[in-house]
Amino acid sequence: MAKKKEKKKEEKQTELRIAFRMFRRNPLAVAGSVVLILLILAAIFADFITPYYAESQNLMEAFQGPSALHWFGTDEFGRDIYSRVIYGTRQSLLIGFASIAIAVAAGCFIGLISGYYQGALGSFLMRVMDIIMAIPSMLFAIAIVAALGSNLRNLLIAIAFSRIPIYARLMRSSVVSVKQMEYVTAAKVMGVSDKKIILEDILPNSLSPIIVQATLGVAFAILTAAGMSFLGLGIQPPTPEWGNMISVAKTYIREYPHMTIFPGAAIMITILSLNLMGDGLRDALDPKMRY
Amino acid sequence: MRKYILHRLWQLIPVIIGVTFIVFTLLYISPGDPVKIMMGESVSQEVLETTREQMGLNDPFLVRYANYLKGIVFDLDLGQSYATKRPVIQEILDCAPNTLKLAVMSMAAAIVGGIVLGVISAVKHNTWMDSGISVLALIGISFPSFWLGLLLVLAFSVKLGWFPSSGFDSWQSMVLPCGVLAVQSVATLTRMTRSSMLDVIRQDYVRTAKAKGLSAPAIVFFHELKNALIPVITMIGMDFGSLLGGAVLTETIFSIQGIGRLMVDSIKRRDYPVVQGSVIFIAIACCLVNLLVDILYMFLDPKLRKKKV
Repeated sequence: MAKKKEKKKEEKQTELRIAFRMFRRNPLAVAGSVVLILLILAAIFADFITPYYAESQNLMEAFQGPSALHWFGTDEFGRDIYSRVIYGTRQSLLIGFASIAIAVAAGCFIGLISGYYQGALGSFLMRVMDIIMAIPSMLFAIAIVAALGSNLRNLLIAIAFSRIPIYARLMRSSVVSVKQMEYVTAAKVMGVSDKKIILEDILPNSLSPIIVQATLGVAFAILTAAGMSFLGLGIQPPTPEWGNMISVAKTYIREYPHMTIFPGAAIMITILSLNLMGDGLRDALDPKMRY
Repeated sequence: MRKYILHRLWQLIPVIIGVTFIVFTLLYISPGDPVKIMMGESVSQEVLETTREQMGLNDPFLVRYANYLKGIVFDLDLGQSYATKRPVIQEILDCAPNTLKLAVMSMAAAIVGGIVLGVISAVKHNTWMDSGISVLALIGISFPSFWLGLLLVLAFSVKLGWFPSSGFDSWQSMVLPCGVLAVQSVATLTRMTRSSMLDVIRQDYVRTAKAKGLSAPAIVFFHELKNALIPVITMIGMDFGSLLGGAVLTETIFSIQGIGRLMVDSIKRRDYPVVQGSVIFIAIACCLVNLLVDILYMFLDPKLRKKKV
């Protein structure tokens, strides 16, 4: 038994190693990961790499273009746009990762339950997921924020809630196919408990598509959050957030386009890096792509 | 065939009831007293109570929901706007043509652009053209649509003066909003068509067609594309929902009086019945589009036709 487990562990490690090697050989995926790591570092060490406080105003310096003093220029209150963009990384990454973490946890739980116990509870849960899926994610998130009020917490809940069905469905279909594998039947015959089978056999073997979808999901969540803040339904000024910075900047787009360009470019670079990483992970984790 | 359509319509009923329930619950838990929102904070307690009674706001939650659902089913009644006092359905129908035009035109552009680019990319696999299209598609899915909209306004309206920056009444005014809304879908469909075509290209029947000496265009159109389109069509159905979600942003940027903008304006006015009605209206529209796509899917995939009829 112990030998069997060791062998299984070894196989898993080799699988992971192959996937990691595949990922490393993909220059675009590596570039995406490097940019993402830099963004995470920027968010963590924002206090040390910004020359100004994000909210400190200086009306004497309002509407300045990019210069050595203010790399990305200043806004209508004379705030340094570079500092605000860097601080904005915190909000966007927090919303992106936290909302998808909640959605993945809840979605996986629902998917596991409904896939493993395919009875009335399972089909009821999936019908609920179908209903949520019928409402376009962005509109559902807007409706939730409209009901609960617009702030960081509600935005997180709204985006997480609207994405749960994607992970639940994905998990369910993985579970249903893994459940039919012989090793699961063997474990059942041996009298292994459901909890152990789910946690040790089914969950690890169903995770690959979830990881890929979660990476792309973070990109979607960041875009949705920025879009909602742009509409005035997300994080409110003066907190620096890329979407609300663009929302304010659009009033001045004719005279001071730099106010719009830099926060938008920050969103694009973040989303691009996540998409590159997601594509790389998909290729690395899909055994079909290796041969 | 008819049996299948009826079966799918029957399946839609619980989904639509579920959507109305969730959206109604959201409105129910939203803060603020509807009567105070309608009549102002200074309304007297007596008037407040009478109006609440008249509007059925004192009824238990489930009774209120049942009445709401009854209204939708029997009279197409989605309630009354707090702000304009007009029926919500009227408000939505006034805005629906613009949103429909925007969505259909963008989707059409996305389907043509996405499929053409995807096919070129797959046929010219591993060439500079394939790499170029793939990079463009990747950039396309990463572009925040509202940012792209503003940049296009800056370039084509402010600097060059080619297209107006707002409105939706002439073809010139439709170019930018439809372009902005279509970009993400073009990118998604290009990627999907490309990978689906690459799967098909390796199939035996394509090799047979080549061995028969068919011309390259005939192989692409009659053997590869026809089969590669099946997963792409599912994607189109799913994409329509996100397109309607994206329309909220596009309508706001270009000041188009559509359902998305109506929704955002209503949220700011705390006109919740309009928000609720708009979400339900769009969700039902998405369900119907997906149904249409499923039916189309059956026409295209003979295996499904046999199984389901």
